[in-house]
Amino acid sequence: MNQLKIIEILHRHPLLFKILLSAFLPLKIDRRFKYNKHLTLASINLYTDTLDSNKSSVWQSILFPTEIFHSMNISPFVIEMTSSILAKMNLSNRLISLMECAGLTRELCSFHKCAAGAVRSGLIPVPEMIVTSSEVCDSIRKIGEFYSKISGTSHFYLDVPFTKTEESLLYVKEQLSELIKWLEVNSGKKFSEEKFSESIKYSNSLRKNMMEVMELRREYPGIMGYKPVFGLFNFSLFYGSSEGVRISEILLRELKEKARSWRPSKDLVKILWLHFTPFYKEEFTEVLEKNGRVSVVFEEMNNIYWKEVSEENPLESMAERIFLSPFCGSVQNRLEKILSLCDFYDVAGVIHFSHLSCRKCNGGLRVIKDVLKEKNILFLDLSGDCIDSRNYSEGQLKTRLEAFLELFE
Amino acid sequence: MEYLLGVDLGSRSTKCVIIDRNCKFLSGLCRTSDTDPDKLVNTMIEELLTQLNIKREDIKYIVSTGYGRESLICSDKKITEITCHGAGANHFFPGTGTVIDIGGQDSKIISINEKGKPFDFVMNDKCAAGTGKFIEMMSRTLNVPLEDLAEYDERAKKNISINSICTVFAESEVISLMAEKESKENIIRGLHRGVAERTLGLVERVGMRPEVTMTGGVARNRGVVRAIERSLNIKLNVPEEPELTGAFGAAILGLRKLNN
Repeated sequence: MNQLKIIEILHRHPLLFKILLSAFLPLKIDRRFKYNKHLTLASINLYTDTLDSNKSSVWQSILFPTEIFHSMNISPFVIEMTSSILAKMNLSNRLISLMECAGLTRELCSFHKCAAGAVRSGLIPVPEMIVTSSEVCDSIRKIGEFYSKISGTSHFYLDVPFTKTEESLLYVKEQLSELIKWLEVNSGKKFSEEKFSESIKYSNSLRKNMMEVMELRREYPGIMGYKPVFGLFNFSLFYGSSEGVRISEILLRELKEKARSWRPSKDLVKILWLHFTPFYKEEFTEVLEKNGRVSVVFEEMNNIYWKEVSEENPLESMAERIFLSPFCGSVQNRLEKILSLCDFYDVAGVIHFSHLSCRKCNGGLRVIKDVLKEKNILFLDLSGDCIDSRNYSEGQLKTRLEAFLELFE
Repeated sequence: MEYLLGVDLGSRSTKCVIIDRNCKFLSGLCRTSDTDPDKLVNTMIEELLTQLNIKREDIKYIVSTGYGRESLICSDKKITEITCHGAGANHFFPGTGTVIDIGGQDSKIISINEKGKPFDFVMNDKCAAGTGKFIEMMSRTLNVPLEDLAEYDERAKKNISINSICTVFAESEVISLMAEKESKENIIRGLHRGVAERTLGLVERVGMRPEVTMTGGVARNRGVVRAIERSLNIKLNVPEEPELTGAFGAAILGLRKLNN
């Protein structure tokens, strides 16, 4: 029986799949911090909930606010994260090829092609609801429509205008109100103001804890290791849930404990990492651990760039947060966040991993590079593909990364 | 007397350079890369030792560079070719601000400071377009030896464009041009112009800072050098043995390490 068949069968038996994933995935993660195991297990729960017809679940596009879902006891999971899991299982290339054979071009985002391939091949069943938004990019909307077409699943699309104005803010806020009604109809669950309010409190607590993590990582550079820490991004699934707060408290305790004995070298070179790395193979970033003089002190994808969600006017606050996203609107929006992180962490260099088909991230790269250059911050652009390993060249990535580290010697 | 050895294990060729403690170039060799880099490098070292009449134990430090740098057991330090080409180019031409290194399978543009230390660089994508391999394949398709390409280019009567940037598609284009009775001279100039255009694109990504020094085996082809000069509108510095620049830079960095 081939690997795809096994995975397909497992996806039809969520409980068994959950047990197996919970046993094996924690072995593959960075185990220096215990929070990571808790976070992985909680993420597995959300993922397997989307496979369970007895549970309400929703697939959402990356960075979509999760508070409403959690308040209605609907398990959210990010479509792009599904692709990253499939890439870790070395299944992504086959699924991407499947979609390319079906007519999608090679230039389309492999995150989206892989997730589409998983559904088209019958590997993964589509949950009862899909919510996508144009906050980050446009191609995810097409994937939502594609899922809806082939599985009959309901699809809600949040249209986020390019520019934030009073009107556009109101427009998004009204769509979030519509989303609540849409969720009620499609899940059969009743929205409760009281539970939503509780969710907002959890969201703000998690935000506060993650801000503290950001502070600790500034005060103790390299405390979480010298490589980029993408495990933290899984917290984005938990804004609005008590689980996220619980796990972030574990992380905080661990960091504070480690901080007591953490003595970073005074001449440590600090680096900010932009975007992700390949999920199927992260070996090339080991160069950073081996080098020992240069540390990625923070990752753009883990940035807490939004204000507290207002308990009085939560939907407007969430709409504000969507517009504040570094990937929403003009490149200036992203640039501001990057510069603010550069200042906050006092970095000497910035590394960007250019995911091959990501027009949103790669399109404005020259602007970012030029501004960083003016500020004497060295910049490295690594190109590759986060999901499709056929676009991965370890030798080239290592040479570029090592050469970049040599710039600081 | 003490000596330093720089070894550049490139994808197409392996280069060894020996210098003395005064940073004087003594000798260098270039051989086609092999599946057993250690064996090849040891043979090359023996050849150099015999040539210079020195003993192995007199080589005090070995720096390896190039894609195979990690695989060389005898090396004391591994440094990327980007840093090594910067050091090498700076030694030959101290005014260098930009290095264009076109090797067997990749091309790099490196911005360096007055000490030869890089502060920015770009490399071509993983495709071989515009690299030594591209030119080698085209020379085979045209049945013109590599060393004669520059002469053919000089005799060209008109500028034609090879539009494909992919090596395989460019080959089909060359075959079509030959079928249309286009002269080899014009086609070769077109190919050289294609390499120059790709190089120009890379140079623009980091920004050109004169002087510009071209290193790597492709710099031996005067046709490519002229095409790049025309496209950048600047005279290029080219070391006498451009393919040895990376290995020479590696030896220089070894010397600095030893002196510290």
